[in-house]
Amino acid sequence: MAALALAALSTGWFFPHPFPNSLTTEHLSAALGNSTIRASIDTGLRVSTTVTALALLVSWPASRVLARPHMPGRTVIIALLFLPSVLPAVGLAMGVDVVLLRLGVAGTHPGVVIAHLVPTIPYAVAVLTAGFVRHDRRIEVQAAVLGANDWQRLRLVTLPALRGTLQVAAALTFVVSWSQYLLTVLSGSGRVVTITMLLFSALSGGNPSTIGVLALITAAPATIFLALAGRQTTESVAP
Amino acid sequence: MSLVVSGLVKRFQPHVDPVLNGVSFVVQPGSVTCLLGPSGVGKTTALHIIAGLSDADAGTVHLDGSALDGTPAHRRPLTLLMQQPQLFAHLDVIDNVAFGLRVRGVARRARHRRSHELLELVGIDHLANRSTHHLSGGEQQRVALARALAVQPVVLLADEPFASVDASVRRDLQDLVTDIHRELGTTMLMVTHDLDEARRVADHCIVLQHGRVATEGSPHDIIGRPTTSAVQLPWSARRHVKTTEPRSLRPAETSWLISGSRSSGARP
Repeated sequence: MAALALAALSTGWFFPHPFPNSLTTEHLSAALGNSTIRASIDTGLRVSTTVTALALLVSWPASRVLARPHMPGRTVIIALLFLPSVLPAVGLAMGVDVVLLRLGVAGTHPGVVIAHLVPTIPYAVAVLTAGFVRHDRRIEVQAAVLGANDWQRLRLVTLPALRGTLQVAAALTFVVSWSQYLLTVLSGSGRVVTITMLLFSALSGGNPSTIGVLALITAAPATIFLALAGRQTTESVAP
Repeated sequence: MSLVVSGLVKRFQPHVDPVLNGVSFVVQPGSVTCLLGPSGVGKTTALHIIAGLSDADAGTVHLDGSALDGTPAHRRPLTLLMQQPQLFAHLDVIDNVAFGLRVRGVARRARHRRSHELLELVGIDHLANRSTHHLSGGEQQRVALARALAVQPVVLLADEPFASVDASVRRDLQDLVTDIHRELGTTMLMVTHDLDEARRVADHCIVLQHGRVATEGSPHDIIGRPTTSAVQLPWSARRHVKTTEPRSLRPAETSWLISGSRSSGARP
C-alpha cells in the first residue's frame, strides 16, 4: 500500500532513485475529478453493495441450517460451494456468461450482480456458518419465553449477537465482489465498467502514476472494509 | 389461576419407553410447586411442553381452564427461568430485565422504572448499568430472575435455576425466591433434583419416576417421610451428602435410603 501511495503521489520518480523527487496530489485530484473514473467507482459501489446484501440474505438461512449440531455433510456442502472459486477463472466466467445470455441479462447491472454472487456466496456462507456454530441458540429460546415473536427475536437477539460475524461476512463479500475483473468484463460485456476494470486497462498503459492512483482508489474501500472487519473481530475476541 | 397438566406423553424415539407416560398434576395458584425426580425422568421435558417449547405426543395443558396446546411459546402467559441465566450479552443489566417489557411495547421510561424496582427486589439495583460480562454467577441468576418477573407471568417456570451456582450462593437464591414469592405471590413450578432445595422453597412437591407421577404432597410428607417404595432418588440423596449440609439432611436422607432398594436407573 505504501508503494502504491508513493507511486500515486509522486512526480519525477526515476531509476535509480529509491524515493520520488517530489510529491503531489495532482494525479489523485485529476483522477477523482475524472467523470469516467467517478462513474466506475459509482458502478462498482452499487454492484458490490447489492451483491453483499443479496449474498448475506441468501447465506443467512443456509448457514443457520448448516450450523445445526450434527448437521451431516456440512464440510462437503461448503467445499462444493467453493468449487467454482477453484475453477480456472476464465472457465467460470465463460460458464456464467452463457447462463446470463440465456437469462437475457448479460451486459446489464443485474447480470453482473448475479455473476458476482457465484464467487461471493461461499465466503458469506463459510463465515456465517462459523458464527452460527458458536452462537448459543438458547438465548433465542429465552427470548421466546419472554414474549418475543420471530421478528423480535431476529432483530433484538440474533442479529445483535451475530453482529461481528455479519460485519466480517459483509466485508469479505464486498471485497471479493469489488475485486472481480474477468467475471465483470465477461458478464458486463464491457458495458458495466468498474474501477477494477479501469485499473487493468491502465496496467497495459504503463504509466506508474496512473496505475498508482487507480490502484489506490481500488484498494481504498476494500482496505476500509477489512480494517473495520478486523477491528470487529479483535473486539469480539477481546476479554 | 391453576395450571392443569393432563396425561402428558412424550416419546423421543420409537420403540423406546416414553419419557413422559401419562403425567398429570395441578399447580395451585400462588403455590411454589417442585417437580422432583432423578436426571432423565422427564422433568425438563414436561416443563418445556408447558412453556410451549416442545409438543407433547398426547395430553393437554390448561391454564385457568383455557387450553394452551398449540399456543406458541411467546404468546403463553408463562415464562421460563433456565439453568443457565441466558442473559443477552449485547444488553446491559437494566435492558436485560426490561427485555420482556420492550417486546410488549412498554415505553422505555416505564419499563426502566419497573426494571429498577425488580433489580431492587433481587438486591442488585446498583448493577443496573453494568455489562452482564462483569457479573458473578449468582448476580447473573438474579438478573435472570428479575427479567422473568418483569413480564408478570401467571406461572413462573424454573428449570433447576440454581444448579449452576455454588452451594452458598444457591442458598441465598433459594431464600430470595422464598422472599419474592411471599411478597409477590407468583405461582411457580420449579424443576429440581435437589431435595434440600425442594424442602426450602416448595409448598407442594410432585415426584416423577418412570415417566409418571410417583407421588405428590407437601415437602414434609414427600421428603421427610416417603411412604411409597416407588419413590427412590438415591443419586440425588447421595449427592446431598457431598454438596450440602449433612446435619440437616441426614434424617431425610436416611429415610430415602432405607425405604427400599435403589431404582435401576440410578447412578452410583
